[in-house]
Amino acid sequence: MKDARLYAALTLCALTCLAAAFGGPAGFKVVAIGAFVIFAPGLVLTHLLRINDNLLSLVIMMMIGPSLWVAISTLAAFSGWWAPTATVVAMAAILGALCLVLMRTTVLGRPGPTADPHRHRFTAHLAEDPVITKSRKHRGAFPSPYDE
Amino acid sequence: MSIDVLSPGRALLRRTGHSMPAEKGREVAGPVQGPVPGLVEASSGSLAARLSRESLERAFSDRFRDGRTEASSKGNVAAIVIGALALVAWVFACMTMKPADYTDLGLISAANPWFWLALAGGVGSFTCALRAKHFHAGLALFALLVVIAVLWTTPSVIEGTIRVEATYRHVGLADQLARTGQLRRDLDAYFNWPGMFAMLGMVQASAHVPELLGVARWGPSLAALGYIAPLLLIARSLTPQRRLQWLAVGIFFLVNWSGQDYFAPQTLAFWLMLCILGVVMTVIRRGDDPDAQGLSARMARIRVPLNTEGLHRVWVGDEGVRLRLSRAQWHTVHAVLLLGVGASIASHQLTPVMLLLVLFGLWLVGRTPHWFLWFGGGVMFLLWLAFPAAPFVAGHLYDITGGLMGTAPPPGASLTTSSVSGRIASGSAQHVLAVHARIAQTLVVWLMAALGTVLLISARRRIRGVILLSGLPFLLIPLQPYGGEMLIRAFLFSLPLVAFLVAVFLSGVTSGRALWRGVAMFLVLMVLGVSTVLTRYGNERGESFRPAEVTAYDWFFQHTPTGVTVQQMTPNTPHVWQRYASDTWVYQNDAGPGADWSTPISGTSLIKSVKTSAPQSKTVYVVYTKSQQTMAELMGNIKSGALDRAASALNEDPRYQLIYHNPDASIWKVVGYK
Repeated sequence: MKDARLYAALTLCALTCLAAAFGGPAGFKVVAIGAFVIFAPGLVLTHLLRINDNLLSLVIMMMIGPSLWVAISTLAAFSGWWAPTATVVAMAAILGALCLVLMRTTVLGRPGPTADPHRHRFTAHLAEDPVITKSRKHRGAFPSPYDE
Repeated sequence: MSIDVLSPGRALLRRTGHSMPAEKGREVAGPVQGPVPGLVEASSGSLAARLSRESLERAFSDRFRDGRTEASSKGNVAAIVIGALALVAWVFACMTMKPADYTDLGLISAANPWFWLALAGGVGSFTCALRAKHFHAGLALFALLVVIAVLWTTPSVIEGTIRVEATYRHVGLADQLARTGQLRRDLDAYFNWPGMFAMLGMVQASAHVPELLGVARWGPSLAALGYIAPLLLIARSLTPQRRLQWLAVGIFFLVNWSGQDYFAPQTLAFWLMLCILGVVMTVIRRGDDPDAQGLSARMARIRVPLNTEGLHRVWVGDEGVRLRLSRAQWHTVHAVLLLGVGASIASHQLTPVMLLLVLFGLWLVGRTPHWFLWFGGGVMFLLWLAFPAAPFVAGHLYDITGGLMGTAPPPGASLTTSSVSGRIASGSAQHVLAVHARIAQTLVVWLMAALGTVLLISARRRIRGVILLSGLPFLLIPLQPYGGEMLIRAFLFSLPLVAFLVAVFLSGVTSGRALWRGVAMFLVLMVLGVSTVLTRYGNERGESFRPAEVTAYDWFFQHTPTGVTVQQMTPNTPHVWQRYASDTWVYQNDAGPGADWSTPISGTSLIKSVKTSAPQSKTVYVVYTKSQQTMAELMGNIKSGALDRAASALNEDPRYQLIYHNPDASIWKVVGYK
């Protein structure tokens, strides 16, 4: 599933909001927020990057979260604006909203089912696959006269 | 979003002269035709020939080509079975091993047959997975996890408490930030590099938990899990052979005795360095030929101006997997890298220096075409020293630049306690044996790495990047007057590349299908693993703590007011995981390797120490735990039982009122202190 990273990030955002706002067992809270801090930003960014190499994506995904949170929390400590719960919940909300937007964009961007499958027989199978064409909109190898 | 992987076959095309000199930035794919002249020519001669004739052709030939069609083979089945049995043995080992059995040899003295069975099973499973007819990365990962569980997790399981005194300090720093959000930059260096503590403080505060002791206990295991992917990425950027990549990763875990992998900023910074190193060595910008960039590339062109395709680009892609990124991917990935460099700079003093050296070295040899990584990182580092870390830098100029600039040490500074000779010579006979074992293991590892280098040279592989990166850490040694401590860190920083070279050697000399070659590989890995049990955990008797000691501090934090002065004989206790900055913590001696303490411990000397170190104190408590005695004894500072006797004497002293006692810890309040 191509959107698995977004679903994972969205789940982490939701769990973090739950843990920070409503509490729960200490172990659950630490694991949920810790996993969010480490993985969620990387999951979203690597989804956007679409690097087709799992190992490189994994390493980049792992290093984004801690790096980002070291920057955010250090800035908060030096600036004196230290509000951990608000910061974590705000970040979770922003990332969650971003995930929803990206999921919606991806879903809408896919070619939908068509009444005439033969019409799209020679177009790209996936929306992400680049299709080299001179025209602005690809119409397949044998465009239908109705397209004009 | 297409990405090209520079395959070894394509690289050989170039090396053998069959390459089609296409336009810059485009790769030409095609099968390799005929023998490889480079390998054949290297097969005549002395040592290199003997090592290379058979072993190299085996190691780098298609015999190790990954089989993807068949899911299983005898080797894979053996890896699963042996690995599962090793896990069972490890569970039994954890149930039966007791920290009370530790001697000055550390963990190895408490190890029982179950433990050795588990270690042998883990190493055996790893060997089987690597030598299976059809290599499967998932099985190699499974076997590696078994090895990590046995070698890196056992102490955390059997001791029941967090090991290493510094871990408690780091928990306390995160707690300080979680509760107050205030940086006491005048207090110590930690608050001048607070990156990791601020992040952890934010997690602790937002989760509303009292402390992070539960997380810190598993620091070494989490660090090991985090290391796997970046180490594999580094190894993959050096060789396209998956077995060799995994062997390099396994050797890293089997020989890493440094013990610097725990709940610490250094661990985070080292991990970030591995990630950054792996990414930089892997990615190529679309349209770039990285080997036509950088100082060394220019020098090569100067030497052979007419043959840039031959001398310099001849090795392109021969070293491993490189990935081409689009312009957008390239810029985003490098923004992430700079963020990682910034996080490293904000978290630790020393590791960013190493990171910048590595980035500079990679640019120097043309592995990355852009200078802004090391230059930008250097500017960030200097800016950090000039502004956020200014309070510490102003007062500790000697600590930062003493070794480099030759600055005179401040009065009272003792370099002998941290020198290499002090580390080697001090302590009990068993402790000295453990220290000597560390030196021996390091020398053996370096020797194997040197032989691996010979193999690579024999195969006409470009090794300047590997040599540079494995040698750069030793430039740090004169940078700071750390003595033996800096040597340990240099060993750690160079280990990812050294492990790769060791893997090249081991793979070269044990490749082939004969059973004895597999047994030989297993035996070598097993010897390395067994020696690491001694070298990595040789100080375990002093670095482990009893649950009753932690309970004593828990009681102390709950039953005494804040803002008091706490006096200890040494800092080696599970302390300051709360009230890090609100209480004043005073230590009469530092339990480091070196000579005997000059001043004997007594009630009078403790009060005198408080008056000297914290003259503003109004309420003073004295805390004594068994681990203070253990570590000082281990390091050769005192004779057996000296601190126990001093603690017993405090009970007779009318100035000290015993307010808490358990078999492993005692707490007194100093009565009428003025």
